[in-house]
Amino acid sequence: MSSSPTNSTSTTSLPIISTTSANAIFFDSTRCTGCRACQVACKNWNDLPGYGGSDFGTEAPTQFNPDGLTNPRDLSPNTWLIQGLHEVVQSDGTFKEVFMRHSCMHCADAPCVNVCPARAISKLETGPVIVNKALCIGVGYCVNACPWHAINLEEAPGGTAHKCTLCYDRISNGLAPACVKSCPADALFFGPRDQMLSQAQSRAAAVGGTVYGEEEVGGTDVFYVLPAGVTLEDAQLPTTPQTTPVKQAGSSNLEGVIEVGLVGAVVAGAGIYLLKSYSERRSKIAAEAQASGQKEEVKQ
Amino acid sequence: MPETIDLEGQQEEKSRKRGLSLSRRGFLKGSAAVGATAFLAQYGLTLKTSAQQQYALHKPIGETLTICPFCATGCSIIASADSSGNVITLEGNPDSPINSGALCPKGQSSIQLLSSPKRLYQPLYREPNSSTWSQISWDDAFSQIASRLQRTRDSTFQTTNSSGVTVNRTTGLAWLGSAHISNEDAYLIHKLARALGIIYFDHAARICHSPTAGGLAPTYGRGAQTNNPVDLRNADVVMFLGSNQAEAHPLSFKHVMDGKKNNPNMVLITVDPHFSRTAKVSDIYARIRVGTDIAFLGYLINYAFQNNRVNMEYVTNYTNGPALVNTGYSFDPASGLFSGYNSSTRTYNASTWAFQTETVTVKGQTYSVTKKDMTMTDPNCVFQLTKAHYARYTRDLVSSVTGIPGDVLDNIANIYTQAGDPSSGKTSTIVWSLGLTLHNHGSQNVRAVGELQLLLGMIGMVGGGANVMRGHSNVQGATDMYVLFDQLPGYLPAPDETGSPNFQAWVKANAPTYGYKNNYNKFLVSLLKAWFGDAATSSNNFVYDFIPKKFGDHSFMKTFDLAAKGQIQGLVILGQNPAAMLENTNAIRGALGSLKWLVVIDPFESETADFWKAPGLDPSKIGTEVYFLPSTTFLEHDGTKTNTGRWIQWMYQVTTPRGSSKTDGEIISRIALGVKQLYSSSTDPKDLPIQSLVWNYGPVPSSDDILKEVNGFHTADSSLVTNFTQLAADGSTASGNWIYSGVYGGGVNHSKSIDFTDPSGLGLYPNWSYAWPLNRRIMYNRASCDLQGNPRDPKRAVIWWDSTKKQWTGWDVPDFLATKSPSTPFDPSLVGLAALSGTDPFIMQPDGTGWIFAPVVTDGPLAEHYEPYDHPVANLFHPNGAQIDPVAHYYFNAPNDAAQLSSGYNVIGATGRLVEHWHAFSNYISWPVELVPEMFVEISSTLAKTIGVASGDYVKVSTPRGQLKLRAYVTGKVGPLVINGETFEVAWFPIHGAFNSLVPGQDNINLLTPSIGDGYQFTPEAKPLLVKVEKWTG
Repeated sequence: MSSSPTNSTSTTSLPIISTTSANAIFFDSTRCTGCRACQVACKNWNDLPGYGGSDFGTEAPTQFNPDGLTNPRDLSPNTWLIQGLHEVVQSDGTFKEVFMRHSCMHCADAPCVNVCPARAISKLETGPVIVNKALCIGVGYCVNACPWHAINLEEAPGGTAHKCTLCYDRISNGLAPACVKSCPADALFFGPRDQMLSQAQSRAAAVGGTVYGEEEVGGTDVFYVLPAGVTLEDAQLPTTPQTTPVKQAGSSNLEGVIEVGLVGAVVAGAGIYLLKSYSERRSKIAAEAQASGQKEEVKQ
Repeated sequence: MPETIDLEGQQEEKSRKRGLSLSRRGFLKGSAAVGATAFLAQYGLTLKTSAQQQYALHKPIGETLTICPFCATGCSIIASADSSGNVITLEGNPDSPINSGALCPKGQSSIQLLSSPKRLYQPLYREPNSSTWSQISWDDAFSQIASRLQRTRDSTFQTTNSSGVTVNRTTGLAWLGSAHISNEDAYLIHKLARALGIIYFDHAARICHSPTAGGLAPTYGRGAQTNNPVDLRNADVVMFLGSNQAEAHPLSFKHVMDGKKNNPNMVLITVDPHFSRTAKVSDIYARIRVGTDIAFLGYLINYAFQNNRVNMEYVTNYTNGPALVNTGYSFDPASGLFSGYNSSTRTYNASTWAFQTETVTVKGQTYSVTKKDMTMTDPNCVFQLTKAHYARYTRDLVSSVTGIPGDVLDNIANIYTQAGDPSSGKTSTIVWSLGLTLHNHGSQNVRAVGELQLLLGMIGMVGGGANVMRGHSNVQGATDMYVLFDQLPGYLPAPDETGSPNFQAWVKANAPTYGYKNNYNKFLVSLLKAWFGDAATSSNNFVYDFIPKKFGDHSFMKTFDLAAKGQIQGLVILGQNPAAMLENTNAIRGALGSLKWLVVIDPFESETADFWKAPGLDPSKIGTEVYFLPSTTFLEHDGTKTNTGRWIQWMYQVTTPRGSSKTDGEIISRIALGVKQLYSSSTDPKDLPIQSLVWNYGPVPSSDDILKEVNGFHTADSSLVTNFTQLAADGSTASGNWIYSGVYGGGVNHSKSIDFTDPSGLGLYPNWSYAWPLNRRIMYNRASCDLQGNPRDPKRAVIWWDSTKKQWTGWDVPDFLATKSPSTPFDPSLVGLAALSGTDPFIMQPDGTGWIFAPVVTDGPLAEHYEPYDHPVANLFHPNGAQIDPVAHYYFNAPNDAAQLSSGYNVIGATGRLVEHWHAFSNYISWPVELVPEMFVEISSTLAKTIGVASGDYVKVSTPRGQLKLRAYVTGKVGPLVINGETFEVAWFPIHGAFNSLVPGQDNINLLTPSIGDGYQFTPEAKPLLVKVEKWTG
């Protein structure tokens, strides 16, 4: 086997990824060709199985979707990103297609983080909301809390919660998330949140579209630009994203057990994730939100 | 994602164009997988972050470069294997100017090919009439296959024909495939097949883009894409006609999207029977009736003539517009026939289409040359004949034929032909793929594109050109190696028992006095030296007679037709899947069952390997012996592949062959060595080609060594030639494929070049890979300059005449004699390139011009509208004359199995691709299958209502050739068309059905397609159908 070459003329071009504050994904639906490279890139990087009929896995085979080509139809522990190909028949009978991303929005103040009694879900400074499987106890409060159905529990006994990680390991190493990197149409972008937001806003202004994600649930770290004339219903996005009230973190009688487990995990070296103290994280988010004048929606 | 990149100077500007990426250059070393943390530390890529935020990658990024195995865009992939050889990561190479790190869903899924549940790792044997496979050892398989090749060859061998011409051919043996393999393996196949005397020899190109070569080569001189995918960003107008580029070639389409971003005024036009994802992001969409592209293009041509959009300077000087055609030439609008038609043979005698000649005297000698009227007013000049021919393509008639409303036609024609006015400063280009080729008049579809682009002056221009998108990862390369029956590597015509019965006749017929093809004798001799070494000498005409002589149609469909009739007895199929993907599949499966023996070489248990298990067939009644030899995926071998833009790129081996599988190269070489062994002691002269065949590769050939042989060398000392200008006709050089000569020039393997700098800023990337011929990125680029040699459009300057240095210079390699001044006159006393003038940009043509009128195309010198085989209306151009291409080729039951409106086949059917799938084999891996698990037919809500089905219900779709159960997908992507005042429903079918899919119960739409071949290139018509769509009641 001959080796691939080294090229000494190289320059290293790292994307600007903030290492101290939130980054964000910007998805421009007006440029999307609906190829779903992002959906497969997510599976590729994260080693997630496809259903692929009866020969694969334990999950039910996917079937033809009579509403169009969107498949699978729901996010699941094995599918963290769906690129929806939505067909809309308008009131005048004409037809319209809307290509829309469906995945974790990486809320700045994420309901899933707030409701987790095990403190297994963290919001990293750099943007990602991630689940520590070692800590997850599978109660599923997060599933109910997520307005986008983006976090899901394995059905098997003892199953844990799974969701998009924003490729926190890639971004920590200066690489764009797999979905963003894969996009053939320049419809996905990644970078510091403020840059992504302003990019989304100027694109929306240029095409007469709307920005989604700036206000929802107090602001998210994923922004969408919807084309002109496309409603949230057309795009199959929640019009008023809300969380289902559940028992609050901190009141769980599992609390003490979890604290012990957390320490144990760190000691065991299993905690490759950022684990910050809960109170620190909460106060920081609150301070940032106050500083930026955003509505505080802390559920405590 | 330029907005997020730090811009500091020129180098960063280049990086910006490559997108948001961590450059791979710093750590592309070795193929061993390196732990992520280690590799980051090694290359100092640790970011300045707080310690607790530094996360290791959960798996390493790939470090080995290869090329995506799906379409021919040529996306660069980086992949890694672990210590067990399992490929663990695979993603796009951010440095590639083609894909900038991105990959489409198929490319992303290609990692799954390595361990697909349909992958086979052991050779298998199927006894006649058996319903199961049994195991066989590699040794037994190779020895049994060699003896079957020998037996069938010897029993069907012809040494001479009835006229006494040496033909050295077998009529009972055939080889098909492939377009998936490397150039080196394709070259080996051609070399072996011809030595065996095989004439029934073809591959995927015949059933996809042969009509492209058939349309382009007579028009411009070469049959390949003139520009390349990256160049699409430079166009002002891109029209997708017969191309769904966003789905079929997603990363080529990236450059269109990039262009659109840089130039908001860029206009994208999609003309397609169904509303594709390309249409979704286009500015203009026109729903056209499938199979009526010439009518549409004819209107654009007519519009250009009527509205002063013909670039007169270009047409006068760079095309054959001024050439005078024989006065005996005519086209009869009533019959739809050109002069010279013989209705009993269904062929043309093209003698009346020839150009008028006149004699000129130079230095006391007289020469016969084409007569021209440079004012282009003579009614018999090409310009006037073309204008008159397309004057019949009026808006109303074309609208009636195509179903495109007249105002939409005018809007498109106006926007598209603007570029023909030089003062516009604009360029227009057409992107096509199989939507233009898979018709009984596919070559003429491409000819119409070729004519239009010449009339607008777009050939040679950055942002212009004729941009065909080839389909398989190496279909361009396998075509260059010419794994097809009618030519030899490098497009040298194959010996023909009538046209070139001996070496001298071949040279006379194929090496014309004027133009670069005058050198063809050098290239043929060099090829024969590469194949037969010392056995090829000037005294034996370099063993020209060792090459089998063709005598007619030996194409893909013909091979199966003759298998069904018992003539073809033994067939090797490598990397092809005709039992799923070839037109009229029921007939194809039947033909496979008529063979004595079949060898299938494939990584997967394809439908062809399993044809005897196809739905509805009884294995006990199928007597074909089948050998299955498990080959490898693209991750398990090295070699080069050539993308659609002619870029020859090296693929490094990512891992070793899995299980007991072997590379294609090893399988081919072991077959060759086995056959050579069997014939080693023969004294029969007919076996000399096999005995003399130079095969020094050993059982496991080196791709690098083969590439050197392809490049060419001096026979005296084996030193490599610099490029094809050094090849000679005296036997002092050898070269396996002259057009690739230069890829290893100077002893450097240029296919490995990965320097992504682009000094021109136009996307030429001259040091990324190597583009044949001679690393030219924009073919015919002399035509981008005016008569004096100055760029016609300064912002698109690629080459120009430097009057100080007395040479052509610029960003690209001139497609011209570098020292020939623009003022050089045509000199008939010289030969070859030297004879052509300084304003003859099409150097492969015998007169140096682009041919609007091409009298060498067998179904007509100008494109004319003919209907599909299944047509819903009479040909409105000549209702009482020719309906389909009058020289179309018939196979199996054609012409007696056309679908007729009167028999209830009342829905216009069209076939096409989905971005999620690639032919059948994406059905063997789970990610693409998850995206699109089942095949379907798109129908409108009105048709759904008529037949009483809802979206998701099953329907029965049928033609006289077969029927299929499919899901109905009720969608606005298709809708009724009004054709000549009548309303027709349209159904659109993806082509990816496979009965061995991971999702059971699927099969292919080709069960319904006809077996009628393109009049010029034999390519079967797969795009247009008339179908019956009914609710499934089974």
